[in-house]
This record gives sequence, structure tokens and C-alpha cells, in this order.
Amino acid sequence: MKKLLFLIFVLQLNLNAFSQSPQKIIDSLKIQLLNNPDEVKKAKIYGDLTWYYCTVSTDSALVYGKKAMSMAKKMNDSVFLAQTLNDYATVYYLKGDLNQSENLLRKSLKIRNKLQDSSGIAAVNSKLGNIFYRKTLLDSSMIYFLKSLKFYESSGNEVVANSLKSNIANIYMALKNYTKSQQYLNDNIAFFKKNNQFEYLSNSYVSMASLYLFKTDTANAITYLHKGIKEAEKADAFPTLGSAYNNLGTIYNDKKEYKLAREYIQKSIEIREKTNLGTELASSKLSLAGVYNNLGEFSKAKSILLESLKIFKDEAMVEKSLQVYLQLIPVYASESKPDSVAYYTNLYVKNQDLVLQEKALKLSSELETKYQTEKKEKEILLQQTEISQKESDLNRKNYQIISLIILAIVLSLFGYLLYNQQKLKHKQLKKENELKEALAKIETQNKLQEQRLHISRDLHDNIGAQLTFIISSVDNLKYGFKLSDNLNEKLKSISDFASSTIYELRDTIWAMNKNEITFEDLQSRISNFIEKANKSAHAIVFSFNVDEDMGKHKMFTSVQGMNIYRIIQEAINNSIKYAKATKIDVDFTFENAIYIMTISDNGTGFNYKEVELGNGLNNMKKRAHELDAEFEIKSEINKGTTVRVFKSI
Amino acid sequence: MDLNLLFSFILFTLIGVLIVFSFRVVVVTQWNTKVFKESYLRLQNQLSFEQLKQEQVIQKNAYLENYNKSLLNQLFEITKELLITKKIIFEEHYN
Repeated sequence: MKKLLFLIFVLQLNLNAFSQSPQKIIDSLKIQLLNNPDEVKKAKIYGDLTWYYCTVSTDSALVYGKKAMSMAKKMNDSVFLAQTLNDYATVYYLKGDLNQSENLLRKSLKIRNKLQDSSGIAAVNSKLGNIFYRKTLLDSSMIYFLKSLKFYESSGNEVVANSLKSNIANIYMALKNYTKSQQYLNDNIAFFKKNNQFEYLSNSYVSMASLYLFKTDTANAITYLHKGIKEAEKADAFPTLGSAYNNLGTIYNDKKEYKLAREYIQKSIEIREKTNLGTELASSKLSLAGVYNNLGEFSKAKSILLESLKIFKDEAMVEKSLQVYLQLIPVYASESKPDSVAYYTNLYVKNQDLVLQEKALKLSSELETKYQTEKKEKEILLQQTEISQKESDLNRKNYQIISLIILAIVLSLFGYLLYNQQKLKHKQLKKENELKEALAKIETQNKLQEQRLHISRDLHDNIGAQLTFIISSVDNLKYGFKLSDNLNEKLKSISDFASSTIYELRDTIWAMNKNEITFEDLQSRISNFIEKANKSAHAIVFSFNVDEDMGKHKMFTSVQGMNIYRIIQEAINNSIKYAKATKIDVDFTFENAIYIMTISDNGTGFNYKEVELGNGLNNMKKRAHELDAEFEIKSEINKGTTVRVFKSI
Repeated sequence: MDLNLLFSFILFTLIGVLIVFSFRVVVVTQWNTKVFKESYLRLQNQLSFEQLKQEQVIQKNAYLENYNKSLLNQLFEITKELLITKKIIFEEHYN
């Protein structure tokens, strides 16, 4: 039964290889090699040849695998090296050297772990599962299959996932958990049927047949083998077909239906001859020899057995060789050759002992390996714990160093900010003090100036009072005593002059008591003056006009206001005194952003070029200058005089 | 207590406190700058006002200087006229 399982298992591993006509691919790859491709392409061709030769000639596969591996190392291409190791491991697996295959797969796994190649890791895990199965380390095999299954299920590759489930079903079968195995296989059959995966379906049917054989239900086993054959034929899955026919033949042989058994085994041989797998062909031939022996056709059996023995010896398949020895005993017995019978009997017994010893050794070695592995795993675990502890310490230290750097940065920032704050504060204080000093200086100066102003005011008050006294005394003198007309005239003139001085003084006091004079104030003052002038000169018609565009809220400084007032006063006095005018106009206008003040009369006028300017006119000009304004005087004889003061904004 | 934990705790507390202080310094600096700007503007306005006032007072004093001269001349003139009148009165009285 185990033989049967082995055959099924080989099939699962080589499915893809057989479905691609390997010989044709090999031929085309060899043609490509003749065209002298570059190193990278050459390495890839060697890799492909290794894989495709697996099913044709394992020796050739090993030669190309070696070449591919050496080129992969030379190119330092980790991905390619991992793939080559994987292919090389498959060749050793097929050759039956499971330890070498396992070593190579572990190397490949290490590289793929470094590369974090999940799909590659899953493929290696699957192959390791196969190796452990072959080694009958079923628990390890299950672990690797489950790891691989996890990846394929998460990546959504349901076909490969289900093929892995078939292998898991085989493990359950070997563990005699037939219910679980059947459950897996039923699921597989349903999935492959649904997805028309005939090759996988045929494998599952053959596995199911094996399960029934385990359960000694040959009827069902035969049914499933037939189903497997039907599906394998659809997919040209020759390895499965070969196995199925061989198994069918073996069952019929056990059932002593030798003709049917021979027929199926011969079909198996025909198919296996196509696939070039020598050992499997030899197995089928061994089965055929068994049938011939049962049919009593010993001569036919003998030639087949000797031929198979050579192959089994070449491939160092001791168990198969033992079966051959066992089959050769009745053959030589039929030929009445007791020596040969004794020889093969001895050989069988001796080799069986050897096999048993080998098995025991293998088992003890496996147990030792397992013990050592566990020990090493424990050590690794301990080392890993230490490493993780050290890593954690290192991380904490790094963390603290980074924190210290951050602290230093924050401290520097804080220092800089503090320094900056103090610097700014100092600068601000300095500026503020400078301003305060300037302010104090100017305030002191202002106080001094105001004191001078105050003294002037006091002086004016005194003078005003004295002038009033003089006027009053003069008036008393005039009316208290009988004086000559001449004296009266003189006194009147003194009184008038004193009065005009007082008015002038009052005007000045009015202006000096104000910081600013509004245009309205000035306008009212000028009106008062004109009114007074009109009283002293009834014959003259005065007019005072202010343009509406003049800003009524325009402000003048007291000196400016005084200067304007004085200019008007001087001009009007001149007109009254010298021009014999009958009309005097005072106008304030605002045109084209220019303030214009005009005082005009219709008096006698004068020739401006011939007349030398007196104090009055010069004063007016000077005052206009102080106002930053232009002064203009126009006069023609008998056409009056016009005085204009204008200032642009 | 784990020394590493204590160290980390102190370190983070220091960083936290320093960050808070730094933030406070920034806020205080900004506040000071704002107060200074306001105060500086007020002082500048005051200075401008005082300068204007000074200009006006100087103008007034300059004006008054001239005016006072003219006023004294006028007073002198009045005094002179009064003295002449007094002389005429005396002359008329004693002649």
C-alpha cells in the first residue's frame, strides 16, 4: 500500500513539468544555448534545463543545475540562486536523495526569507512538506504543508491550495484518520470538478482509491481508479495514468484476476515508457513480473525481473530490490536451480536484515537529529530572547539619546528665546529712553518759551492799562481845561494814536492767547474791523465776501491769523487814508486749489513803478512771506488798487 | 523604581517644562513688543505735539519780539507827543 502512496505523491510534485512536453522545451532551450546568449540569459536557460530535465533525465538535470547554480553565485543574483537551489532540490528529491534535497531547500528558504519573497517561501515549504512526508515525519510534513496552504489561501490561489489539501489528506490517510482524509479529498474533488482541473481531479480520484484500499474496500478503489483514469486521459496526465493503471493491475493481481491485471499493468508500462521515469517503469515491470509468476510464466517474469533489478540497484532502491529477490526465488525454483534459489533467498534475508538495520539506524539518526534540532531550537530561542533583550536595551538607549538631543535642542531654543527677549527689551528701553529724553528737552524748551510769552502778556497788560490811563487823562485834560484849538487837535491826535495802539494790542493779545485760530474766528474779527472802519468812514462802501468753497473749519496758527488780519487792516487803512476810495472790497476765494485773498478799492491809485514802497506795503509783503504766500499789488492812477495774497495747497 | 524609567520621566518632564517656558517666553516677548509699540507711538505723538507746540510758541515769540519793538516805538511816540504837548501848555501858560 505504501508503494502506491509513494507513486501518487511523486505525481503531485511534478504536475506542471509533465503538462508542458519537456523534451520539446529542452530541445528549444538547447538551440537557444547554441546562439551564444549573454550571461544572464545563459544562466536562465541552464535553470530551465534543470527543471525540464527533472522529468527526462535526473543526471542531466543535475549537470545543468550545477552550472546554473555556479552562474547564479557568480552573478550574485539572490533571486535566481534561490530558484536554482529549489530546482536542484527537486532533482535530488526525484532521485530519492531526500537529505540533499532538504539541505538545498533550506538554503533556498534562507535566501527567500531574506528577500521576503512570500510566494517563493510558500513553494519551498510545500516541497519540504513532501520531503518530510517521504521521510514519514508526518507531523513536520503537516506543519510545512499548513504554512504553505496559509499563503496560497490568503493570496487566493485556490488551485494550488486544494492540491496542498490533497497532500494533507494523504497525511491523514497515513495517520489512519480516514474520515478526515476522505473529507479533504471530497472537498478537493468537488473543487477540481467545478473548476475543470482535470489533472488535479484525476490525482484526487487516485488518492481516494488509495484511501479505499487502506479501508480494504477494493470495489470502491477500482471505481475511483477508473474515474481517475478517465480524467487523466482528458488532461494527458501520463504519470497519474501510469500510477492508476499500475494500481489497478496490482488490485486485480491480488484478486487473482491475472489476465486483467496483466492488461492494466502492460498499459501502465506503455504509458511510463513515454514519461522516461526509469524507477517507476521498473516498478510497473516488477508488478508485471508478479503477475507472470502467478500465471506460471516464469521465463517471461525472469527477464523482466533481472532488467528491473539492474535499475533498482543503479538507483540504490533496496526495498524494490528485495521484492525482485523475492520474485526471483519461485522463478529459479521453477527452473530447478536450488543454488540460485538459495542464493536469492540468502540475498533476500540478508538484505532484509540490512534494510531493517538501516531503518533502525535511520530512525535513531532521525531521533537524534530531532533531539539535536530541538536542542538547537531551544538555544536559538534563548539567543533570540537575549538578542531581543539587547535590542530592547539598545532601543531604550537610542531613545534616551534622542530624548537628550531633543532636550539639548529645546534648551538651546529656550536660551536663544530668553536672550532674544532680553536683547529686544534692552533695545526697546533704549529707544524709549531716547524718545523720553528728547521729549523732556523739548518740554523744557517749551516751558522757557512759554515763560517768555507770559512775560510778554504781563507787559502788554501793563501797557494796555497805562495807555487807557493816558487816553483817559488826555480826555480829561481836553474837556477839563479851556485849551487852544491847536492843543485840542494835538491831544485828540494823541488820544487817537493811543486808542489805535490799544486796539492793536488787544488784537495781538487775542491772537497770542490762542494756539490756533479758526477761519470763522478770523472772519468775525475781520468783520468787526470793517464795521469799525465803516463807522469812521461813512462815505466808503465796504463789502466782505467769503467764497462758499472756503473751508470754514480751516485752522491757522495764531501768527498766521494775525498776519492775515494785519494785511487786511493795512490795506484797508491805506485805502481810507490815501486812495479817497468810495468802495472797498475784501474777498476770500478758493480756485483751483489756491486760496486767494483780495483787497481792492476804486480810489485814486498810484503808479507802482514810480512810487517807492512805504513801511505799510513792505510790512504786507513781509507778512505774506511769513505765510508762505505770494503777494501781488496792482494799481493804476484813477483805477484803484488791488492787493492779492494767494497760497496754493 | 526602575532607574531608566526615572531617567526617562525626568527627561520628558524637563523637555515638557522647557517647551512650556519657551512658549511663555515667546508670548511674553510678543506682549512686550506690543506694549512697547503702543508706548512708543504714544511718546512719538506726544513729541510731535510738543514739537508743534514749540514751533507755535517760537513763532509767537518771534512775532511778539517784532511787535514789542513796534509797540515800544509807538509808546515812545506817544510819550514824545505828550511831552511836546506839555511843553506847549507850559509855554502858553507862562507866556
